[in-house]
Amino acid sequence: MRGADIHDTTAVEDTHWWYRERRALLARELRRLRHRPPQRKAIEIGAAGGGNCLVMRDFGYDVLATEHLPEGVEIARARGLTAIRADARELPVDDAGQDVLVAFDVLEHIAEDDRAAAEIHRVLRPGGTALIAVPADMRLWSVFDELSGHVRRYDRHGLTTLIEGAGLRIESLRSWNVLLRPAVALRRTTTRPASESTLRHDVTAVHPLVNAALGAVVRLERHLPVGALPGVSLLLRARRP
Amino acid sequence: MALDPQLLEILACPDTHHAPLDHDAAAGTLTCTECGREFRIEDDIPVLLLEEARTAPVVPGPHDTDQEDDL
Repeated sequence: MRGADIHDTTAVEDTHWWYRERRALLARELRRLRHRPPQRKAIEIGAAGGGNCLVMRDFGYDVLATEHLPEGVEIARARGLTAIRADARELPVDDAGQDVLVAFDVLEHIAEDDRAAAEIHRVLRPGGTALIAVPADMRLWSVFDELSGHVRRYDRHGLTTLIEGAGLRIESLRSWNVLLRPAVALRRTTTRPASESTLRHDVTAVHPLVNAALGAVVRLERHLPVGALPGVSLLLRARRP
Repeated sequence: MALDPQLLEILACPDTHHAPLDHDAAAGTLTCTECGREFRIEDDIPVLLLEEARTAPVVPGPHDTDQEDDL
């Protein structure tokens, strides 16, 4: 992601169907962790403008937003979050101090994703939880990925190998955005944004009716057993043993 | 604005030794207690990137002590 992308996505993330459902998914995961004391410290890597951090803060976490790009950190700071500029491969925090780590849409941007995974393991306390989201399936690779600065999309095997290789124990791995995958695949193979700014506009400018319809479809997945089917993203929950 | 002491408690050098950092509020910097790298704090935001750190000045060793006469 680039600095201008962060400004655009921050502007729409409260209303855009994709971001709204991602925040809802994070909130559901955090509710699941409520019974696991102590739950105090949380960190997000690749936090962009800190939208996920706000969800964690609402759950009572003492949360640290880390982001490489200055634009994201500035927005997070302006939202009252504690934010630092950092590299996910070299996290500037102590060992084993975090109860929860969130890495949504980060690993696919990093060539040395094994180093980022090792850092996720290092900074979590034993028993701490990592919540990870990545784009799924190289068959969906398109110019959208290139313009977003992705290095790869993941399959289940590759993501499992990466996360278990870092020493984490996977508790759950499922697909997300399953119902809309055919539409996404069609759009990505038939549309070619002319430039990066066209892409940003394409991602962020959604007609309100379309936004409402897509939101309704993606929310449906909460109640349907589709997590094992191919989707557009993979969601993973892992713990440091 | 002063750096939150709780934040300072968990921050560490990004290098593999992950040593604690010393905060110099007047200079607006964080300095690694192990390798001496200096990280700037910009508009209250610590920039903890190795590529943007200032490396530590070389500390004169015992064999350099005769240089002190020149100072």
